[in-house]
Amino acid sequence: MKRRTRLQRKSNPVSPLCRCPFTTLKAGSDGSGLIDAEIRPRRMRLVAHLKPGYHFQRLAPLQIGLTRRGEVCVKLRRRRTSLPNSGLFLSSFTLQATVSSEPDLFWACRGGGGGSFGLATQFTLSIFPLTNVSVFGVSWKLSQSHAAPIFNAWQTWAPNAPTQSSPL
Amino acid sequence: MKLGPAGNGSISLRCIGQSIGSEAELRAELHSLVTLETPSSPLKIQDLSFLDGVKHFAGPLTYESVFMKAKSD
Repeated sequence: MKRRTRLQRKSNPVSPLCRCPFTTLKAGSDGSGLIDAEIRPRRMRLVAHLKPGYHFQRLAPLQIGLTRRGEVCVKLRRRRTSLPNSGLFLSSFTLQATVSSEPDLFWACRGGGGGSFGLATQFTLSIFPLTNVSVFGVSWKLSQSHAAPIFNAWQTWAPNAPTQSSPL
Repeated sequence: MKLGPAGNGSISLRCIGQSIGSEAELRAELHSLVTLETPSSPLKIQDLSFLDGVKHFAGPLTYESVFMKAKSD
């Protein structure tokens, strides 16, 4: 119970991602280093998605759920990508994609492009514990004129929602 | 958000999602949305474990597993 309370305190700041530790994975890693260095010491365990033989080469929607009472999520923070500048791959250049640097490439690497943009050479991941999630639902049956403001409000909020919220 | 016909020319709107913040923060975020019009089904927030949250959106896993060949990207 004490452990759960500590995890809860950690996951309650306005942006939980601000405090999470970072780890770096080279392309081709099978994730075992991540598990040994970051997951096991926290006495958490893997439950889904990452399995032996699965390499961090083309992870598309990179968000891996791990759990033991609380949970751990892994989110992509940066990705170094080597892009060929000729069709024959004679030479290449390396880009570091983040939210603020090369944001379009970063978006594509996170799933927008199916992991097919260049060759990923390194991933920087953030790891943070989760306790619980709050799921929500709300419904309306309205005339078109009354529905429009709801639609507009959702479309305004959802794309800009805080990191901790995931409108679906 | 899911939109659909609700009969008599009206529209049904359904908003769902999840948050790893506190329930109070989530309510504050959604306050302006749910106060625009009176919902037919009021805002319901459930506190679930991560995996229960997955099951909540996936639905009950009562179907039979079938092995198949496939390639994930």
